[in-house]
Amino acid sequence: MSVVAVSDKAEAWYSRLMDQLARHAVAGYRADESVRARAALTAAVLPGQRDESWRFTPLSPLWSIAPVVGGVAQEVLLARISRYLVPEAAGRCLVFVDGVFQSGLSDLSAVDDGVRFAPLSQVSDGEWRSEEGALFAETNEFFSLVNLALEHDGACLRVPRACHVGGIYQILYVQTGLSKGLLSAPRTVIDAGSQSMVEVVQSFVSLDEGEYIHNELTECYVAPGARLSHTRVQSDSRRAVHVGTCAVGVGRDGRYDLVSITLGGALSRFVPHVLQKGTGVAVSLNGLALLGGTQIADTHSVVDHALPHGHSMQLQKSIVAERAKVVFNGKVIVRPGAQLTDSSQSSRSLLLSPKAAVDTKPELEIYADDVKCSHGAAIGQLEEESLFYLASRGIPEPAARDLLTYAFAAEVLESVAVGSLRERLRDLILRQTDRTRQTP
Amino acid sequence: MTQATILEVTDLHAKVVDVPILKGLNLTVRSGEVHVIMGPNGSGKSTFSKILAGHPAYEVTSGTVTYRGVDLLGLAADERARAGVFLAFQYPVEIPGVSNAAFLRQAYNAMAQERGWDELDPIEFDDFIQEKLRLVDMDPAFLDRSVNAGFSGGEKKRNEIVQMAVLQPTLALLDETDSGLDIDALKVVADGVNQLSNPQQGTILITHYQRLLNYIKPDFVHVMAGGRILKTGDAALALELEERGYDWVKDELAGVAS
Repeated sequence: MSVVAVSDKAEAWYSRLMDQLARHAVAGYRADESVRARAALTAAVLPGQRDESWRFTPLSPLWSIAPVVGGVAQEVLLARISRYLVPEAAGRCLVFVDGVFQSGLSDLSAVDDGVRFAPLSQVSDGEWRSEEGALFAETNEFFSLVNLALEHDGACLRVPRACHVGGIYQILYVQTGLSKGLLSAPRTVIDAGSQSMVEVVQSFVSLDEGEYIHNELTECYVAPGARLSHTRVQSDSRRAVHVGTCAVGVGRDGRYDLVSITLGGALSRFVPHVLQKGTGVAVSLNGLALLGGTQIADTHSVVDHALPHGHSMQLQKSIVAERAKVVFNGKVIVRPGAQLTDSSQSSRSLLLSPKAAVDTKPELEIYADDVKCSHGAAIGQLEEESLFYLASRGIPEPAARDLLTYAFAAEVLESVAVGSLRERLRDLILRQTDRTRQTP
Repeated sequence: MTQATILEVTDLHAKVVDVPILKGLNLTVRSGEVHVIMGPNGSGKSTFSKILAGHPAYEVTSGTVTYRGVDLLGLAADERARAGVFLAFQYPVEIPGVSNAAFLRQAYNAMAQERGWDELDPIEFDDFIQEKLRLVDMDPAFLDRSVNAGFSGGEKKRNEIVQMAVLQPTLALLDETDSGLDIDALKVVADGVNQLSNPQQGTILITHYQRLLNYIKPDFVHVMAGGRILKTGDAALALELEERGYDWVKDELAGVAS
């Protein structure tokens, strides 16, 4: 009776989590959140495939990792993480290892005047919490509660009014994979003051093929007239589970551009949730997932148009090899007052093997009558005619496949604002065939 | 000087899905020769060129194809290309997202590895390619555009000739390279083909129109119908076809047979 077995495993996981939580008292600096979350967790219902939002995403890889809260602090040399640091963010970079801030690996020498860029643990409560940006205050989503209950460290980036930063800011979360079952719950708060402009790279990476759980929460607040460009790279161990939620509020005439690159884990889930908090907001969500082996990656996005003249554009591309699986659910809400909303969504998937799978679904809730909303989904394979064309030019089949795969991804890659990252991703895709071959 | 045999096709039969297309085709191409294949639609001309280039959709059911002494049918499409077989496509494929420059350089370097030439880095390749572009009067801006994406019909055909110049084939197959070209573009493309031809190379041109032969002088003109070559002649045959159509060839053959 596998259904019972799965739910038993989930219950055991939950008991273990609550037990671990009980051993770690509320630390204090985000105490109110933690207390609320802990209380809510005692009554929480575990997510599972009976929930609409988890229907296509099996949580079994998570339930089989017994969670451990608070591991042994690991020493990591700069040389081991330097490949994950983007040169464009030199002097503007915060590094966390297994959830712990690393001042020796971080470099804050080029932080712009007036910008607050520091680990949350070093920022006073009033400094990082803006009322507009408190997007998780009411949440009852299970994994968000787990993150809030743990009060782990993370990054705070506050850009003052009208500040145009001089370079890219990077927040790097590294997992060593050395503590089995380690549950890390980093929290990121980004606040772009009105009329400011800032570019952020947020990376979640792993040094080893360890078994761990990454449960992250990110809040972004884009104040009126501000512009935030957010590049998110998630590349966890193929034995790890990653659950991420990014709540974004955008004020009047603000602009938020997200590019999310998913290289996955055993199971990864990303929930970008963008709420329009003023008129004339522009949002773009570009996503690229590149998966192989038996990886499962799920993107559940929400774009909530609450006010008139909102503009949102979403492009999700998935490249799925071997027996991997991608889930995409793109929810777009247009509330009754949100007239003249212009929204488009496109999900395109490339299946590189007969056993690769994609579940893709648009979910549109439109309550206003003068709006433009489009959506489309396409799933395909590499075209034989294109492969033949490249072969007829002497290009061997593996290279031809990689080149066409790259061509598929190019549209999203070109939207990556950070040159070095774009190059690295390009190389990664052009070596995709090698990569999947090496996978056991 | 004796001419080397580049291609020897003997009694070739081939089908796609379960439809027989080639039904006993024979053809010999020697170095320095230009062969023209003409014939009505559906006679198997394009299929023949794709089979020579190794298109996986076609199945050879009997017969042999020997290319410079080796069994061509035993090689994969990319191996054939690296061995010197080049097909200029009737409908070149668009590859949005891959720049023409990167594509051409990758093709060149695949060839270079095979033939022991030096591989070229992007800067060296740029010098090399500029000269090739001039052959067909192509704007260097095309290098930065995606392969064939948004190209006009004429631009695509020029791009095919640029690729031919880069890959320097021993056997050049041009499948209706003249179709869809206006008279100026036709001259440019024909001129490019002429400049690239050399005594070591064999060329097969597939065309519907005699007008191409005003610019490229063939050694042989073949009429293909029903998956076979029915008649072979010189340039005069093309003129006769232009004037009289294909029916008389079929009639003549029917007369011989009866």
